[in-house]
Amino acid sequence: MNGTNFRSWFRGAKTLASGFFKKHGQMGAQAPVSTFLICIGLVAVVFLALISWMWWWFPYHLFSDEVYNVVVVNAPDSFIDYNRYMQKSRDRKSRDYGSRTDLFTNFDNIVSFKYTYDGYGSSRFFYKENNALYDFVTFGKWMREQKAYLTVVFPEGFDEKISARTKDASSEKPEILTYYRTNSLEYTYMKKDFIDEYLKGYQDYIRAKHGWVYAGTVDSQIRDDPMDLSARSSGRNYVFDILGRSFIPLLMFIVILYSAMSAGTNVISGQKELGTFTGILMTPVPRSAIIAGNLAGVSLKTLIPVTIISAPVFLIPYYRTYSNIGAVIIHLIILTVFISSVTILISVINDSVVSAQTSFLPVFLIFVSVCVTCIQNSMGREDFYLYLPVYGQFYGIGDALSGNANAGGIISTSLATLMLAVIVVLISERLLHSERYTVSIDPVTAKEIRQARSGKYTVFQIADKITDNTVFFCKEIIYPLAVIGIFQLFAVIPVVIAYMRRAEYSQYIADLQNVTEVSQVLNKTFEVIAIFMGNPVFLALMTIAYMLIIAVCIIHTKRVFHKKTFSEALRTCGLPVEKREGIIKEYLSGLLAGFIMMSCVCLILKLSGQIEFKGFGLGKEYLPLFLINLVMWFPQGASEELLFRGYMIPRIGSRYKKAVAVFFSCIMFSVFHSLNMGFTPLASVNLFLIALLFALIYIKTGSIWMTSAIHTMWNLCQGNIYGLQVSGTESHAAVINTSYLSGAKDIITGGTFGPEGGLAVTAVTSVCLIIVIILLANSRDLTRNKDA
Amino acid sequence: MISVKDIHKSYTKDSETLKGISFEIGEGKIFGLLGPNGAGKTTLMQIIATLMKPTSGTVEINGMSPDNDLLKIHKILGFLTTEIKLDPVSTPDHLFDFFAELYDIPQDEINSRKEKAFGRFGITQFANRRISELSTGMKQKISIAISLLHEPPVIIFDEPTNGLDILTSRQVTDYLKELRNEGRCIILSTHIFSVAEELCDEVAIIVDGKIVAQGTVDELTALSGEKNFEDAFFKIYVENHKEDQ
Amino acid sequence: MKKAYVIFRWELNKIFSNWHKTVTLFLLPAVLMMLALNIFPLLINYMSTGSFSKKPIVLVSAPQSFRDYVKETADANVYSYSDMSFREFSDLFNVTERFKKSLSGGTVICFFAPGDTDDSFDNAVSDYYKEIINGNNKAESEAVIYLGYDLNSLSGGLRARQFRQGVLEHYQSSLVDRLGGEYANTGSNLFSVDAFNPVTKLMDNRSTADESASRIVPGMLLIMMYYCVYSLVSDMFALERERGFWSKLKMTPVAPSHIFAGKIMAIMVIVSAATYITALLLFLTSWANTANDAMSLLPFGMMLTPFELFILIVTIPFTVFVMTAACISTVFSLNKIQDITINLQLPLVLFLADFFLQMFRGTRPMTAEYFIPMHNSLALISEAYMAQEKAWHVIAVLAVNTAAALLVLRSVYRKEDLYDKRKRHS
Repeated sequence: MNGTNFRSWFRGAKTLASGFFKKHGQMGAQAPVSTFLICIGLVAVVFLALISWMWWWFPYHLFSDEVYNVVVVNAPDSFIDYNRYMQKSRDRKSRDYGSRTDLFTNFDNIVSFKYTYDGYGSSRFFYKENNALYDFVTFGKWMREQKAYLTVVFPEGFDEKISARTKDASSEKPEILTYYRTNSLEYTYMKKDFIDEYLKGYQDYIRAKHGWVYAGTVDSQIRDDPMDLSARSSGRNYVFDILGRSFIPLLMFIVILYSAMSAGTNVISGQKELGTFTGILMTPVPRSAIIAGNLAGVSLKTLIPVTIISAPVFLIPYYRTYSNIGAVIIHLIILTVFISSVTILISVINDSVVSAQTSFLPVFLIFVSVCVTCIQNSMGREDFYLYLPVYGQFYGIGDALSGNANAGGIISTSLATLMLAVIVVLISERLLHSERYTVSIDPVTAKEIRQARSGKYTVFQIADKITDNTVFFCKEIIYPLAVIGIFQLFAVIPVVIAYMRRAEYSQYIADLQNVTEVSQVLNKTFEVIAIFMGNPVFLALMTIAYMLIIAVCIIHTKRVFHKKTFSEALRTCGLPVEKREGIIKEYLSGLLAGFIMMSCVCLILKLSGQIEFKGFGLGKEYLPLFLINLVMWFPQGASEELLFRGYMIPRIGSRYKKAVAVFFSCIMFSVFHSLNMGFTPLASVNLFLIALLFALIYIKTGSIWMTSAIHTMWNLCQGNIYGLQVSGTESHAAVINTSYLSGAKDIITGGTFGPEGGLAVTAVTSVCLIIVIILLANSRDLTRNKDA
Repeated sequence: MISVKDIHKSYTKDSETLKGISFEIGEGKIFGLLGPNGAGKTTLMQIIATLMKPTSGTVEINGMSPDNDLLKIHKILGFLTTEIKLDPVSTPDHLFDFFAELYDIPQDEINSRKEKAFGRFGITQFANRRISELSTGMKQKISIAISLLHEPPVIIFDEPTNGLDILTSRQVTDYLKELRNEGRCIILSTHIFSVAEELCDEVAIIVDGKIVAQGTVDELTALSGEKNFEDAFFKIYVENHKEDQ
Repeated sequence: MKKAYVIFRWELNKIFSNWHKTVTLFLLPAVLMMLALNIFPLLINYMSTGSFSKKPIVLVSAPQSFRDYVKETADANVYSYSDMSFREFSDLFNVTERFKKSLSGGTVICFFAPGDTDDSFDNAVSDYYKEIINGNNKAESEAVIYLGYDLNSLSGGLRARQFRQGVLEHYQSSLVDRLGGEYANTGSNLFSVDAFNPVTKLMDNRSTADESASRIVPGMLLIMMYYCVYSLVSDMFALERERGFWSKLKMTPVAPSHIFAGKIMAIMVIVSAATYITALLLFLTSWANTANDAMSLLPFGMMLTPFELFILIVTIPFTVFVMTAACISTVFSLNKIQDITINLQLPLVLFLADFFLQMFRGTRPMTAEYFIPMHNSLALISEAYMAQEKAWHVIAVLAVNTAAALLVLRSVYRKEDLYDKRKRHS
């Protein structure tokens, strides 16, 4: 670049930069009442926060509605004695504390009020009996009734267990359970104090009563040993130090960000919006000068408020050494230049002021997040942060203000940040050469046209395609799992609570603490589900859950496939409702087919000597359970068919070949059911075959009416007619009492997984598959002949 | 249909943009407003369109005053100005449906009206493209189609052919004639004298916020004693502008 | 109101047809907050330690009993440990610079000192119990566990406290069973408290998590809400006015109040939905944070009671309403789009200030704060997280916000509706 050129470049840049200071009313000149009011609001908030620091006790006490009583469940005699014994000291405390509400006569105590586990002696104890140790619902009710914050639950025979332990240390240690109310977090600490103090005293009381040896001293001590490594300032200087490392740099960052945002984001984007930018591009000023001029203007304009904010800081004597001030100023200038360059880039990318400002806000938030992490770690940071851009400025300002300015840090962070700024500027300059960012048109390049003609893809397009497909499959995998998971979870929660309220399950729950390994967790889970399966409430809730799954799936189908009416959506997901008689015929034949298939399985098992029938097994007391089970299997079968066949196959089929859709849905079905207990590889294969069978029937009939019926009947027969296990879950109410013979081979019967895990099912399914495939091939031939 | 009585409008305290304007327009007429830039045409049209309120004076449309029957007036009023830009991310199709619903067009009629309007201006093939992807002329045509979708008896057009090529502006002027023949009342402002000569039944020339001449194109030409309307306009302007100073 | 619904639907469609904008609105802010909460601390940890896992607790001459304890207890396995002998430790101690650096980075040192004897820690403790059994009531143990950390390091202090409460104290109380010999029969704890109590465990986690959340979450939600309201108001009001589309809407036979109502409804629905998603993400962040680092902003186990959840869900749309009203009033009292955007952004900075204030404040809100619109929602939500909610606070906040919004909107509406009847008569 020769002299004349440079002079004209510089002149253009200078004109653009000085433009920033000629416009009037850009910042703050026009402020509406609403902005003013919001500012007043913030000032009020800060003011009130200051007051709340001074009156820290005030609202806690006078507005508290905390309670202090304690409910004791199954209290042993010793505990009742202990409470009686302690009552005297509580009375004394309460008397010493004085009136709890009268601020004027009891000023000192109320001002120094703290939460204590017995509320300065005001606790009272209420005794209750309940054998369900985990029945938190009832405990909650009692606590509300008695104005108690805590329930202490003793196990049965507490005193006896304790005296048994003195004779034999290996015998079981009794466990006390506590529950507390949710309506204040303070109760957590009050509960902890209750355990640490009151229950500890109770222990001493028991020991004293029995006259047991007890050491008054402790066996070991834990001592905090904080090391003071850095020369730490004290008193007022300490406060300044902390402020200088956190608040002041943060304030400066925010000021820079905000003023750069308001000065910078709208320059080029605003001109583009008004259409004046083309005018500037038409002048002989080079693009680099446009960027440089704007950058200089924005930086200078940003520095004005920064100077105004930082000037009072330097008036504080603690911060006032010249080398420190110099360091801070260097940091601020460099940071301003960097942030201004970012705003210019954003301004170049966007073509309207609002979009530029909106896209700058995330950048704003990122910078603020960096500040937050810096504040959190301002003391314990590593040295190398001082050399990084942005981090270096934050810590650098902090260090400089506390008198530890580090020359190496300043130089390297400044250079690094400037490098970044230069890169950003160069990018902006490059962008100004492309049509996309000057006249807002995105034309196709010659290269793209060549590629499109030759049918080749670029790496990005391939990557795009791969991510696109992956995202699609992930969505389709997650969708059925999420739907089934969420609704079943909602059905499970009330049942779990119901069981926690039963006394006979307390021991069962307590034993769960010994479950640590993954396999045990799985086993326990299925044990729990097996217990639930005998509960009519659970079955009813599951029925509702399955119905909701069906409803949600239909709505989802309507949305995904852009269907206008529900009947169209129903047809899409394999539930055409037009021909009533056809549906009934298909459904009934499906029920029959399911019955025959399962009967064949049982026949094979019987003939191969695996099982025996012990006659009619359905007792009168199990009849309601049987009926509700019967009802449950209908929506259960339908919901699974809907998700895995009716929705999934057309959904995937809309993007890929039908074979892919069928294969994928079969895999999903198989994996989904393989999570059950007693899983074997054979079970997976079987489930895949069954899924394939269902999918083919679905394709053959064009609806899921028949497969739903088969699915329902299959499970019903298996669980409630022949009394076998359904995919790992045991059934309670079965018509025929069946049992495995002693010589039963798991490979045929499927063991604990149920018949789906055995060869018997493989055989039956394979035969059915062959039949369906032949039927399908025939109908294909027929249609082909017709076409011909 | 439209009667404007002694309208004054000031933006600042010491100057008036409109200094007492009155006129009346009947059914099936095209009324042309002519005047130099800054004469107050747009302000006047916005006042008639109820977007602005006059400082004093009254506007009545079909005998209704905006003070009492604002929404009823809106129903019979179509307004088009180049200053209104359509939402760039929507499609003509969506925009039409949206405004049709706001104008209370019965559901079964929306599609037939849309087909008719889009067909006339050749928008149909662009109906599902974003506005931002369309050309200036296409945008203007869409604006016209949407402004008139409720088939209003009173139409206010602020420079409808501004920035359009000859083909498109011919389409627009033909359409305006057709509308007049259907018995609608149209106020039109324009810079293009050929358009004014061709379309307007009556013309008013506004200079510095006042109507300085009103009548048919021929009358005005004759009155000024010039050969063509353009020269007549120029003469009238020079005379009146001088008087003011 | 049918027309208001038409406008409402139109605005919603516009947002959802433009996926770019939808993603910016719904996901970007929420994801950024997730980043700020999770990735940044993780990254810092990585940069300062060279690994994504946490800094180990340095155990110096750890006794067998402690190793057994760690093996048996799940809670103790939350921490990772690095073992060294006393000799190794004193070698390291002498290289002061490195040692200092590591301490100020948050390293916690746990030194098991046997006391005067050259014996091990375990022996010191069991000797003590032998003395007691032998009838020496004045026996004293000199075994001490020293917990070293940097006094000036916030993270070191926090971790040391957590480690002490979560591990060391439990270990200490188990010493009697491990080393007490005969004495353990009566001397050890006679009973255990809440050894297995899922309900109370959940509640305990909730206390820690909700306390942190009450400082972080409300401010974040507020910033998130304002960010969305700001961009939507810019788009639906400021830009439309600029383009003249607003005049076009005003020309339709729809009452201006219905146009306002439709647009405000759309903003409320979109922003509330986005905020609910953010709140859900924050909730999930807390539950995903099983490692529960001392420095994490949202510890494990955030939970709300139904009433608290109700407060959260109800407060959000009302806050959005008042924010929308404020933004609309700004838009309609200014003419230049630059002025409008700057004035719309300023509150964002103020909300940021409010967020930091809330983060470091630590006191309950004063009563007057429930009557400052917008800020009162922050106070209310943080109160709900602290489980200190009061019904009248909820009512006051909702009423104040609604009243403020309606007042502001009325003044805007009067200015906008030229032929407003009330104005003519007055």
